[in-house]
Amino acid sequence: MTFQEIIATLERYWAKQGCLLLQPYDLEKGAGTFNPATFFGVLTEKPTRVAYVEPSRRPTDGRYGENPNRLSRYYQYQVILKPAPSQIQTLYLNSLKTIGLDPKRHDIRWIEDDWESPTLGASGVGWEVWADGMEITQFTYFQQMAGSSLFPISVEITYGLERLALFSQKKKNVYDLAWNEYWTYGQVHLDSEKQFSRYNFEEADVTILRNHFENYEKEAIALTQKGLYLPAYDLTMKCSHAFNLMEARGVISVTERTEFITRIRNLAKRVAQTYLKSAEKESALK
Amino acid sequence: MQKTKDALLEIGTEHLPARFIASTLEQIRTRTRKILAEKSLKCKDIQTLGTPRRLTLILLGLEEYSEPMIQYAYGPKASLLKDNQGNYTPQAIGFAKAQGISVEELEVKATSKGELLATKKSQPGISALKIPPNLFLSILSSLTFPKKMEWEETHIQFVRPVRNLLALYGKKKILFEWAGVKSGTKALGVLSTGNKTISIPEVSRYLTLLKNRCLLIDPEQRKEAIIQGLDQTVKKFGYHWLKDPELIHEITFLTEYPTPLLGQYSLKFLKLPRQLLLTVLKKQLKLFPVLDAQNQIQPYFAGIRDGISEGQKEVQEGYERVVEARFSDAAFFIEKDHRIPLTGMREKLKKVTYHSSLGTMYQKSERVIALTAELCDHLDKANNIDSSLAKQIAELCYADLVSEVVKEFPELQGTMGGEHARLSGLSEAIAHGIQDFYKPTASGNDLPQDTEAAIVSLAGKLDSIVGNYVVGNIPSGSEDPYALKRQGTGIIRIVLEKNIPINLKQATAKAHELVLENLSGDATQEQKEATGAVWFFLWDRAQTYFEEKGYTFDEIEAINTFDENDPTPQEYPIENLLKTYRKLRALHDIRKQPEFNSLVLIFKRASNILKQNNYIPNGSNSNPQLFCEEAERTLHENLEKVRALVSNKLQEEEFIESLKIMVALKEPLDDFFNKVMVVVEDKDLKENRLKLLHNLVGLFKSIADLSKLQA
Repeated sequence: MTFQEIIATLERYWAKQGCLLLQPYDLEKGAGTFNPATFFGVLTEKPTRVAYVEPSRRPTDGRYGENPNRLSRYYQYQVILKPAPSQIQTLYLNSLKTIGLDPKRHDIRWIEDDWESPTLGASGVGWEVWADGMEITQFTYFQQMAGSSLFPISVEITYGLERLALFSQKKKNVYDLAWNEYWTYGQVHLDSEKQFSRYNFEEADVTILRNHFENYEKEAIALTQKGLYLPAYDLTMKCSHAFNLMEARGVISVTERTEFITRIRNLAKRVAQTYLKSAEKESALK
Repeated sequence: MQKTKDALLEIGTEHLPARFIASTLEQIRTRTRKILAEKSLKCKDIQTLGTPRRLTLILLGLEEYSEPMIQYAYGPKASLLKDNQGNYTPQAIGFAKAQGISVEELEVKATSKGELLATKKSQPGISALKIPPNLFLSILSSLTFPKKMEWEETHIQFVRPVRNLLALYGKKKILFEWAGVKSGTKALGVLSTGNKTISIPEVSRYLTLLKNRCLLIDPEQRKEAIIQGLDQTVKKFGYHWLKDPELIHEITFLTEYPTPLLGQYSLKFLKLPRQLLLTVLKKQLKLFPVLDAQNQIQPYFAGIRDGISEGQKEVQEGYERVVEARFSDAAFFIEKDHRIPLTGMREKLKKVTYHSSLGTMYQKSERVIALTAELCDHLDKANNIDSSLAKQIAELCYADLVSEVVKEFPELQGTMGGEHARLSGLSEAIAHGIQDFYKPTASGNDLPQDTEAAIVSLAGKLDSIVGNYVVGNIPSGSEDPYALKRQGTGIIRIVLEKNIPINLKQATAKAHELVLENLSGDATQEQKEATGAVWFFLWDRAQTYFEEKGYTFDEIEAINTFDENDPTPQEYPIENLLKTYRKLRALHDIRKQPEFNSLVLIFKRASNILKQNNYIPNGSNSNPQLFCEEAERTLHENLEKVRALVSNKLQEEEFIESLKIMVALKEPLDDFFNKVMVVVEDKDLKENRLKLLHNLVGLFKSIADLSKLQA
């Protein structure tokens, strides 16, 4: 299956499970979890089912396009279900069947892997799922988001789309993947990997990034005070990405790193509190 | 004899972490045993079995009813049974009435509150059918895990979601509900083939029915299947596989039906450093390396898949692709690392923080160089130490921390530095020294091979311990996040087993001085005095080491010169640990001599007399002129004779020889105590006798304080 067919197939599958199909959120982020649909979606008691593709940026993972498996920007397919259905494992395995991965004919392993995002103040319990030794999915029951304990519990399924494609197409190098019948992954993304690796590791202007961070943070705080949690959250994501870039530039000491992470987490908490307060008000009005 | 049946509980879960399963099964056994005893319910055997998806408890031959229980209901004091006229009192009548018996039936029972009126209340046995729901529920809620989670609306916590409960007593369903799951008569199926549940008509058929569905739920059987399966598969090629027990255990608890798998990879990857290759296979892929008869790694891997061998070829090819990809990754890292010489990597340590108050890794590395130089200086020239080699090792031992490979596989620190050194053309001695720097590690028992490497290793560990003590990261109880205890034990082992006569007290002081120089901000009083705590810590590590070697607590106490009440002992036991150890061994050996035990007893008497009389030594010897009894003269003469005999031997630290000679003092001392009064009116006489005893005790104490020994 081509890269784009895999996406299309997963979209169809999860749409049938009642998921709202969203499009990627238009800001840089480290993982699909940062998408507002997940961040806000898991916080309240309201049931939710969403699925979306999310391009994820990890500046430090860049390898100038030289490494066949590591990318500074890659694609996740993210599914959030709340409350978590009791047959969720089977539901997930059935999704693999639709993209030609029959669990009966492969070695599917569920390897303990608890997940934590110190910047979001989030944590969960779950597994990485292996298919014949390849990690294809991160499967997590969220326990906390923005420092708050969650109820009901959401389950998050994050497919590594490149991994699924490598598996499906029996390729060893991500740049050789067929995006469709005409284009390879390399043709679409190799240049961007090269250029962004240089930008992330060598060129990003640290002074500007530091200023950005300060400004985004200031503005985010001001916005939460006005109850505008959505734009405030955008700015929180921007802080997080600015921090990731500074880290890739190798200019952050261990102590500073902890400080930056704490600042972003505090923003995330503040945004979440603002949202919860407004959600409470809304439900009181009903 | 009661009728019995088997009872069964299967807790069907989503995949449990492999590392918890064995201990959870153990918990279930312990818990069950306890509850059965509380309920007076008997069964022949308790069996637990499990896979990543099920925890199974089988109670073999569980009796149908619990033992009837006899209890008493207590009422007023026994004296209130009848009044002076011999009539039953209203209290007694009231109590009997309340208990539904006639007052004549009341008994008198002695209790902790005195004699009370009482009546026997026997509780009939409870049907086993009724007990298991509670038993099973209390097992489910009593299990503890290092980490729990929530997943459904009752907020119940468990290690992973529970999705199915099978509970039977013989053929009968045992009904209960937990975490939103109602118990039933069906076992969890196989997930990859659709998760269809398996009906279990009665307990005795459970194992067979599961086996028919390709579920091996006995961990021992799975382990067997893994080992035999791989043996057979690999043998066909004339090879064998590296049977890593840790990995076998993990895979046993990662599978419900292990099926062997063999795959191949490109010959070119055999050029990767052996340890790296092994680590990638084990840690990233949970695969076993394949070796030939000479234990050379072959371009094959052995592994286990979960489930039957459907689509085996696809699975094998899938694994092969992943193995190749991971090895390419590793090769990529190696290639990138080798572009930078180790000295260049060392420069990069300037950017790596060790601890916010203790500076960078580069500064740590500088401290280790300085400490290494100091240790080399202090060691006798006779030890024949190549201090320039030690210096070179010290310079490069941390360099590989910034390498790509070590960032990816932290457990390869040291190993990769050594490989890199070899490739950069540094001498084998340096490469080996770097490789050995972290030894002994958490997983291995090996010590650094060369003395120079051992000294650098000591310096590195000492700096870590002292540094962490200065910033307050002190291990407490089982909490030891910086692995200081392991490093402390490492120091003790290196000194004793590599026979390095280093003064750990001085070395600690030097390490402390170096740490304080690098400390950001002014040192507090506590930080300035951190050495004392480190001495205690090292001695504590040494004691643990001795105990593990089979020396008893009292023997260690006897040779311990570290007295908490004495701030300035003549010599701390860690100052010359090799000597301390020789004393301990001598003491341990001499105790096997039968007469030694009685010597200990009279020695204790001697030291007690000194203690009771608060004897303060004034340095002079006892005066033979003042002896008036034959026995004290004999003791004195014998003591001086023995002293002369052992003086050279003590100098040469021949402790066992000395002790053998000193045992001869037993008889004259015995005689002394039989015939001579020490505490007499005459002050001079008394003083002189105490002095004699003090000298005798002192002679022994140059090896060990025998009064600390348990006779």
